[in-house]
Amino acid sequence: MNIAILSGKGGTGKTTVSTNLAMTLGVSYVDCDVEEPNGFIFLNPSIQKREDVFVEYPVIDQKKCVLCGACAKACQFNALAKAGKEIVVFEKLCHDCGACRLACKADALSYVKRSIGKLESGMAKEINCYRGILNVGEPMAVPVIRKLLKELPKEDHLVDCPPGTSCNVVTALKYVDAAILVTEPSEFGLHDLKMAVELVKLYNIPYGIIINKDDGQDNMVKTFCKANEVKLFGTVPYSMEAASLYSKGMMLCENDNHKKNFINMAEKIKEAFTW
Amino acid sequence: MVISVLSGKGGTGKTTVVAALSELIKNVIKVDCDVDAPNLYLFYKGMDVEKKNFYGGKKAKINKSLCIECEIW
Repeated sequence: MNIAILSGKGGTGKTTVSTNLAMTLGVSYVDCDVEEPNGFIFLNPSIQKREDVFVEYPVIDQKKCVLCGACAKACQFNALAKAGKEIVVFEKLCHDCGACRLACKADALSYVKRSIGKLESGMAKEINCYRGILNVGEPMAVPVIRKLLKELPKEDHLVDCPPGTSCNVVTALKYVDAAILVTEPSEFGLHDLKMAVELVKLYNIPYGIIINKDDGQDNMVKTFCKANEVKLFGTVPYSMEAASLYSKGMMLCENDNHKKNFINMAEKIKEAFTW
Repeated sequence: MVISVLSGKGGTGKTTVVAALSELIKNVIKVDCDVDAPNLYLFYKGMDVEKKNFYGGKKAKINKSLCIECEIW
């Protein structure tokens, strides 16, 4: 079973919830927020394996190229352009689709690999940890996320997703069976939570909600859950202690005041997803 | 002058800072380019004066009567 942790809004506590739940449940942790993978700061696993993630882009054999411009015309991502007596390649725009090679009648195109990021895996205490890292300045995270999730061994995983609801999150959702949406009780948290709810509904993924920074009162997110009959797995308290532990990169589930809370949420999650 | 506000980490307060600074500076245009989850407008009780669709890439359309399903890829 793969369970995604997502939120819509950034900074609501996806990583806090994912790392602590993974430890509590004793399942593996997967950080696919490849633009800013922070989960390993909490878990601090010993890295056992590292590998590069490659994508391919076209190179043009100037001797064979007849400058017809067919490749540039075929490219829907503007990665190729005819500029005077040269075809210019913008490698970062290339989506590795292969259309340019099909369009080239002069057989002047071949592909070379370049690294856009890497995958790392290791162990923290008794759980397996995996993460993808996108190189700074790279525009496309999807190839890293896809490779990370595609090559996971068959076991139970908590998948810490990127914020938002775009391609990166959609790619991650293709590999999961259920989702936990983490939010905070603010206009902003609720606004983006609704977008995340729309997304998981679109893909028919069963889901429930965890509220972070909860002050124990009734709030707009609880009202939303009740009104829409959405399962609330639990809350992480709005407390100085929780914030302080988090800021130091410490695990809440290893603290006596918070351990029980994560055990309770883990139980509810197992029950809801019949896991 | 165009000033960008960015953070790396999500939820650090980009929108809060933009809203506060732009109110104090005055005479600035506020732009929310966090298009995935644009929240700046939540600070204001305004109304849309213009709304239009954005078209980016193209979507492939297959002509079934011509397609030979060659599966070249």
